[in-house]
Amino acid sequence: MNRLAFNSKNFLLFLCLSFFLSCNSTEQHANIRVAVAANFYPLMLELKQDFEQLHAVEVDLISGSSGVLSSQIRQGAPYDAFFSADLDYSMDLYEDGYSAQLPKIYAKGRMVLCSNTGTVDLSSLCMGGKNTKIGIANPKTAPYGKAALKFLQTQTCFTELEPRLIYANNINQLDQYISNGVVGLGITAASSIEMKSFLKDYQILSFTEGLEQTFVLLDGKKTPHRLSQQFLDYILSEEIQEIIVSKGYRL
Amino acid sequence: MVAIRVEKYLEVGGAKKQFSFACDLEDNSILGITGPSGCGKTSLLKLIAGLIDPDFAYISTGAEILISTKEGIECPIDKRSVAMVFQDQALFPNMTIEEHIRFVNKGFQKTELERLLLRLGLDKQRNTYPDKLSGGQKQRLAILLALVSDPQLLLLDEPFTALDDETRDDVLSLLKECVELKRLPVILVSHQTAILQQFCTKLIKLPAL
Amino acid sequence: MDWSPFLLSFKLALLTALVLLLIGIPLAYALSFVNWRGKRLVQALIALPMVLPPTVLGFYFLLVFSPQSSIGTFLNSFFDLQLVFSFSGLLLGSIIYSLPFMVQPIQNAFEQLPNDMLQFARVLGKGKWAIFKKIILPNSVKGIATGLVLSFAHTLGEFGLVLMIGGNIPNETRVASIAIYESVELMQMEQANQYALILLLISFVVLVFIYSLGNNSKRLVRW
Repeated sequence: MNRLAFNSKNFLLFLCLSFFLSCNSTEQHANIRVAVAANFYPLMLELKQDFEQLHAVEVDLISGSSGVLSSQIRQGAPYDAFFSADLDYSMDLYEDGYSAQLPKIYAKGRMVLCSNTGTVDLSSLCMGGKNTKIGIANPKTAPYGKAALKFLQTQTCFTELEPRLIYANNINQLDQYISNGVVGLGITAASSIEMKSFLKDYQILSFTEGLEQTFVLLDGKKTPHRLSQQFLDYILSEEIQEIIVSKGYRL
Repeated sequence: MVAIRVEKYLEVGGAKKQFSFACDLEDNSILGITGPSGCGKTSLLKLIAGLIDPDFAYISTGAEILISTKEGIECPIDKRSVAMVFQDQALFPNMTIEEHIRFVNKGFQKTELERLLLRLGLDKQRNTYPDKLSGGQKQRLAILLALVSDPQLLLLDEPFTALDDETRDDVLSLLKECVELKRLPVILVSHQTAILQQFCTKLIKLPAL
Repeated sequence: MDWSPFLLSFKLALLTALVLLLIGIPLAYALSFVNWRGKRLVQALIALPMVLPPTVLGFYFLLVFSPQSSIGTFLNSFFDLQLVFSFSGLLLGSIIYSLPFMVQPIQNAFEQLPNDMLQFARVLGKGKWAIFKKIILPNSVKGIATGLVLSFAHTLGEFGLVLMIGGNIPNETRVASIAIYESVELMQMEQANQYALILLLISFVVLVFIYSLGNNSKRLVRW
């Protein structure tokens, strides 16, 4: 039997010390929390850095599909603003009293059919091999997925396409599937082509209607609205809007 | 004067058997108890110490009533001035000999302690942990601890199994000394009837259950 | 490299393990040494997180503590405490989720202490508190250390529960496992690789530590 030193006084000291160490590390900084739809998250990461340099504010970003983020907000997630990938999720939050301001459009998203394993030809969508999986974001929680499904349903061969569908949690996971070749074809956000260089071939689905991506200011309790409002105004500023357009969005 | 009356249904090989025992014991005497294995020798000691709940019991030492089921008196185990040494020496692995003694009785008289340590041949091992002690040393330490706890009644369960003849006689003569000097009654369970006959004031042979 | 997910993971795991230590020792004592009604029920309840998917726990957690629920409203208005999507909520969730990893090793250690040893101390006139402090605890140090390390490591490796009740908020609930998930999603493979490697090493070291605790006393016997 080996003896580990056991001494109740040392032990108490250890307890106090660890509590002290672990509680000590919180630094007080003005920060705002912004929930961002996955398709806009990669660009937002760049914009946030720019904004943080201009103002003495820390912007914490939380990414996910619009549906997941909006249900988190309803369950009490402490976010100051929400950038949805569509109008519906923002509007519902506004109507249910989570926001005092009407949603505003910050970008219009387009969709793209793409592949990292072969060439993309829209007309051959129905002829593609039975084993080629088609990735879309989950239509239940991601507006891009919903739009993608809607588009596929207009195809004459939809019943044959349906068993080949793979649902990703959000656009970023979908892009990862496409890039890995887990899915041979994918319908993702056009901005992904600008933000991530992973595609072998793509074709913009220009005839589908653009997704009106909107944000709402949420009634946060702790952070002053002023900072969040400042951030939203910054996103709508001409300079930033130009950047957004250059990354595959429309206005 | 120690008075013992106990009754208890004991489980032996799946069947419940009535065990009863009655005996009075002078303060300066050693009671030897022997009998076939499974006759309830160890259970008797545990009943006296309070480690087994009796069906009926009246046990008193000269100074106090330990238990009287009729009157509803029951003294908690640690408050009974009864010390018991177990068959397998149940020592504390985290303590040296000296720490054992300090744990059991911090205020035990120093010169008396030194004398006991010397008599039991443990004076050189005082900073040793039990895992480094021989079987005989452990047994002697257990007996020493029982004595250090200042009991009114000492119960010993097969205390000589790990001792050679010479040390056994040393221990026995020390016990005899304690019995006579401190008027400490001792109950000694062993299957070595010859030794019991030699040292005990009184010898009881329990029947098989 | 951004270390904040690791700092957060460590803070969460350390606090969880410490709080669990304070809960786990009395609980293990009550389960090992005291007879009471409903003990089996409590034991099963403690072990539940070992077999239950974290999503079940997460679901009930959201149900009970969301701001719409009465408990959530009460905590929020009287203590200014919000348990969903916050660090304190994560801490509470982790405490429940890692409870068996603390209680069971300690309970095992307690139950392996020889009865004779405890009874001997008792007939030598020692009270239960003294026996607990001087005999039970010191002779269960390995079990307690195992419980500490296991619950620490288990909290470090938590994922599903954090995702559900914590979300992914930087410096609040974005712990290392979540950060890896996000890095992979964003195809930041280098960062995912670094995070994953560090977690792998920590987990390995922790397990080596636990196994070396167990084997010290066993010498190889020739046979």
